[in-house]
Amino acid sequence: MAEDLAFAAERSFLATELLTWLWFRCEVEGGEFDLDGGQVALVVEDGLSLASWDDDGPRASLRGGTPTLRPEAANALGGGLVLRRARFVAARGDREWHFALDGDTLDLLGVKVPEPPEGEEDDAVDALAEKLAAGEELRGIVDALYAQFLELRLSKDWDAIEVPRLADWVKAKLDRAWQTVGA
Amino acid sequence: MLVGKGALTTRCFRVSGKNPTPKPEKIAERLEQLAFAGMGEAEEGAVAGWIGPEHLFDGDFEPTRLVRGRYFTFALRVDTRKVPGGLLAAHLAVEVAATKEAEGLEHLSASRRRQLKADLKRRLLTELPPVQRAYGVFWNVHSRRLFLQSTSKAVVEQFTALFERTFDLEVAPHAPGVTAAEWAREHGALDALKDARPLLLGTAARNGDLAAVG
Repeated sequence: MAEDLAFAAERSFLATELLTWLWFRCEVEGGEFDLDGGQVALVVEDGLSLASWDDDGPRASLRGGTPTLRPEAANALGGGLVLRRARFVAARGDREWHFALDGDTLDLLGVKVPEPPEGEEDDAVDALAEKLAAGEELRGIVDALYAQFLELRLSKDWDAIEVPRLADWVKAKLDRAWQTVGA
Repeated sequence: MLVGKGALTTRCFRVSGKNPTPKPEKIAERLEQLAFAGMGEAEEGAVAGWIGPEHLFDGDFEPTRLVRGRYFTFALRVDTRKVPGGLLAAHLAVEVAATKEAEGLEHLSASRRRQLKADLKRRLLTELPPVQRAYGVFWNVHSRRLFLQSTSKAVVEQFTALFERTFDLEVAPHAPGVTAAEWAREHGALDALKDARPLLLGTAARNGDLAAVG
């Protein structure tokens, strides 16, 4: 049992990789994911915290002004940093969640759940129950994204296809950053 | 309302054990047994207990008011009282000087200083009100998932210990490594998981003849 837990704890880096992979998928493929509960669109919104795998290594924080497109973000990725925390927007149909996702624990932080549809505010619907259910629904969405990531991450396609694509993405971001810095 | 207040920051737990889906009446009864009972006047440290979902002084565990939709709602209250080190040191310096002057002494023995310090600490504890905090809990008993409105390590530990003592159930935080291990076991990918190493994206990019932007 203790051995199992130690093994699992050593693999928690996969959650951190999930965040960088979501960023990549959002930029390269538009951020739409087919999940069991329906399609979800995802955007990396703000509040990027990047860090190296080494706890004592460099860190970078970027806020405001579309930080995912800033040269500093490209430079951080090119320097080997991974996304440790970020604010996302997730949309299912016309419902939107704004939240931060922690790359160490996959905890959901500061979640703003979808507003109730117009005209329903005064109904007998229990607003608190709806809010808690929307919070749990987001938990389900993130868990499903993680499962989808694990399916790819633990397949042969990860090293053969996805890692080169991720490297190309970083290269393209760095090229754009060079152009921006040089302009 | 404590539960669900503001933007939600939560740690998710899975509930397991002999009877992981107790009835609302049973949950309410158990919560009441370990309800927050207050802190002694000069007690130091932390005291934890359950309260209702509304506010810090909510001690009403009537099941019908705790059930909201598919959730059973309540809150963890933790009161802490500690004499700040700086405050104690300042009071002690004043007290030592006053004692030396009153008794015509040049020095106070270590044991006398210890005694003065202990007396001061006891007095200050009676003067300091405890810091009162509460953290909402919502429990989807059917899905066996529970959400605590805190991610603080200390609060999570207090919650876990009190929950397990209250319900005789196990509660395990959502852990990405455990989820990965369970997924891999279920899908025959344990070897791949064992071989997995952190992605070195910077190295992969540099191997493609990249240089970081200065």
